[in-house]
Amino acid sequence: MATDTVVSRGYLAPVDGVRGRVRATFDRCAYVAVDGGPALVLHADGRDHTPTSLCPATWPPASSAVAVGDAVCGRAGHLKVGDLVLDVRGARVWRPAGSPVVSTTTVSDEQGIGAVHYLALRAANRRTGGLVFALERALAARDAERVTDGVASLVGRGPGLTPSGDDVLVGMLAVLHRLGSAGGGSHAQLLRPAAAAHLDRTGDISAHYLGLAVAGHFGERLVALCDALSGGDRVDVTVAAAAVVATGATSGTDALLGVVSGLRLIAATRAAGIAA
Amino acid sequence: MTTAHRVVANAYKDSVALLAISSKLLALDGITAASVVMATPTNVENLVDAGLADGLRASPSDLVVAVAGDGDAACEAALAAAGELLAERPADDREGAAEQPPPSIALAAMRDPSLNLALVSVPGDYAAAEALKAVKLGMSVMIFSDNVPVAQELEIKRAADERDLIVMGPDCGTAIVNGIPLGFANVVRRGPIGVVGASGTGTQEVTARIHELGSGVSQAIGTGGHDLTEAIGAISMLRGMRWLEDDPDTTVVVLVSKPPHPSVAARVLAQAARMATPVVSIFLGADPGDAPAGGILAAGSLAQAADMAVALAEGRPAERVALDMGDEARTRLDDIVRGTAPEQRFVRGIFSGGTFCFEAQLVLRAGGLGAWSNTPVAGNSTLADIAASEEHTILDMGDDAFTQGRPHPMIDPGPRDERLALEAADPAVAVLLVDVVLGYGSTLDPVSGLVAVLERARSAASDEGRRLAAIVHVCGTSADPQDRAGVIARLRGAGALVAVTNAEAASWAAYVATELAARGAVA
Repeated sequence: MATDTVVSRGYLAPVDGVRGRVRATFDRCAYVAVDGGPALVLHADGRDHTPTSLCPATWPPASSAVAVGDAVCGRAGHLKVGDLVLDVRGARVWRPAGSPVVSTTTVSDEQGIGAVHYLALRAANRRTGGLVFALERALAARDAERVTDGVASLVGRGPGLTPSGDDVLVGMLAVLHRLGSAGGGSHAQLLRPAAAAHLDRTGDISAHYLGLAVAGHFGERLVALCDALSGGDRVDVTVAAAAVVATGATSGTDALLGVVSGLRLIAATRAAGIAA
Repeated sequence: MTTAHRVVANAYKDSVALLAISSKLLALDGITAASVVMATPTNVENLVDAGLADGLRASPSDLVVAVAGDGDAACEAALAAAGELLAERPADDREGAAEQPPPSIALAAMRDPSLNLALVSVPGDYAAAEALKAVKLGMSVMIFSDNVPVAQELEIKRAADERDLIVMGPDCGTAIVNGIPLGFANVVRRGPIGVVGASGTGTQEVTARIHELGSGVSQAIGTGGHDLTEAIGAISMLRGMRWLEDDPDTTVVVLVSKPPHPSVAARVLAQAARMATPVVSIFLGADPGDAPAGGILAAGSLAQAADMAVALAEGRPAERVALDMGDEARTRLDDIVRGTAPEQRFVRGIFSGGTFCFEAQLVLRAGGLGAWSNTPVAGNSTLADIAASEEHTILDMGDDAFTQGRPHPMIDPGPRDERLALEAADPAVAVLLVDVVLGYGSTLDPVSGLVAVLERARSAASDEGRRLAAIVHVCGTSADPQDRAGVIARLRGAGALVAVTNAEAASWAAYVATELAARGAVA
């Protein structure tokens, strides 16, 4: 029986009372399907927590320690994953700060991000085939039916373990939620139920992330980007956007496409407010 | 066209692997389309619409491999290949697989959150932004780049200071952090003496001599040459001093700089006076009226700062001993003076190290000898044309005027050697004064060209009835990769007088010039 200490964890990661099984293992992480709750994500400690991360001191563990199908149970601050027992009691908890206060002059950096990540965003556009713009127009028009259609066209679309369309929606939800006070809130209210209604149209791991996004929970890299955008510091935004882009093969740029789309919506909302 | 597909139930591969497999399938002979995606309803619909997966049934958590190609055999081969590829471990799990270097500071930080120092060496226009990114990621920064505007330097340094970090630079050529040489730095043993230096070769002279005297360096923190200006206010030097005072491995601190702005000097010295750790300062060319008080020991030269620091570290009194030429050196120099032609009077100093150039001018001025330079000290004159020396001339060939578009002479000493050859051919020249800087970053062969120039110059001068003094200071340690002892032996073989310190070399040059001037006056 191998043992290790969890050094950090996401703020929604359950431990005590958890029952489930290892759903998938990758070179950098493993997913645990939890009965009646969100999946747990096991990975190395870093700056890329998800809300349900558990980050052991050593990851990946010995190859025999965790395998697909292993039973998982949690009790008294410990999580048993196959032959591995993780002590979670002293883990530092990653928790995003509350939604940032957005000054009146700082939102909307979509042109800056677009300039820096032009090629990546163009590639992401190709993967979703213009559907993001259709959804964006529907949200701007506050047309609930077209929003539902737009979300349906994106969920589960494209390459990747988390398909491109799902990643776009997570990025869009992140910026609309985190910058809600700047004008994203009403769009997020429209987008959330449409996305929730289509969670069964994607794989369970991607549905896990999209479901968290619908509930207002996002990974550390996206949170950092949204918070940088609220601060309006170009360097902060550049650093945070680069981190998002580095996620997975296409997931990062797809999410960034969603962020940029959300920023356009916020900018338009603010412009309309000013004009009014 | 033939199509085929295969569903792999409840299979998960990360996105990078899925894309890589798609690309590999597409590269197979006879395959015209390939897709490896999660079998979500939308993806299935798209595959069916594209004619790639007729009759496909799968759940969203399945993987589907769909291919199109020239015939059943090609498609079946592709599906078989996909099966093998899906069963493989990721490439970076394999033993011995090389990790690609991170393409940005942010990605490096994500890969290893324990990173706490970034070295920035990009064109000056971009250096500030990169440095600021690193600072905001929680890293101290060494900025090797120059040409960073002062306003940006101030912004970066303030941002770092607010986070208890330090910015070494811009234009910071030398540092030794936890025993690791960064930029141009010498191989020195670790020991009790901490150095905060606003001049690169000045720091190299101090740290190398500390090593050669048998002691060692805990940390050598560079600040960049602008740090002690009024605009920057010594933000980095003050931070470095605080860190060294808190460092249990540091028992003596040495401060190295060209003359700071008076208000900044006062601030630095005030902090130094409050430190429990003894401080030796060498502010080259500072007004003697600004001599520090409060127990701070002011050295008269770079090398002397090292001498005093080592004495303190070893529990001995740190005395400011006057430079003693010694009988052997005096005898050799007198011999050279006797062999010079009547028209030979001038010193030509050709330096790679800017601080060595600065210190040599000070030593000459202390001997009553003014000089021309491209980087004159107070009282000296600026050369109208840097390509043409006048009378006593002391050049910094590492200055921007000489290095734009070409390597620094510590990396490529060729231009330095060419200039020396020119000076040696001037019948009015009596002394060639040169520095050779060893250590990491410097060329591994710093003297082959120099030795050839000196041998030719000596021969040509002899043919013309002249005698040239070649005085060389070798800055470096016996542990440096260039074989210090071998370098010195080759220089001596070429007839050069090799001084232990830069100040000593300059004092020898000043002695010869003074003797020649006296001879001319008598004549």
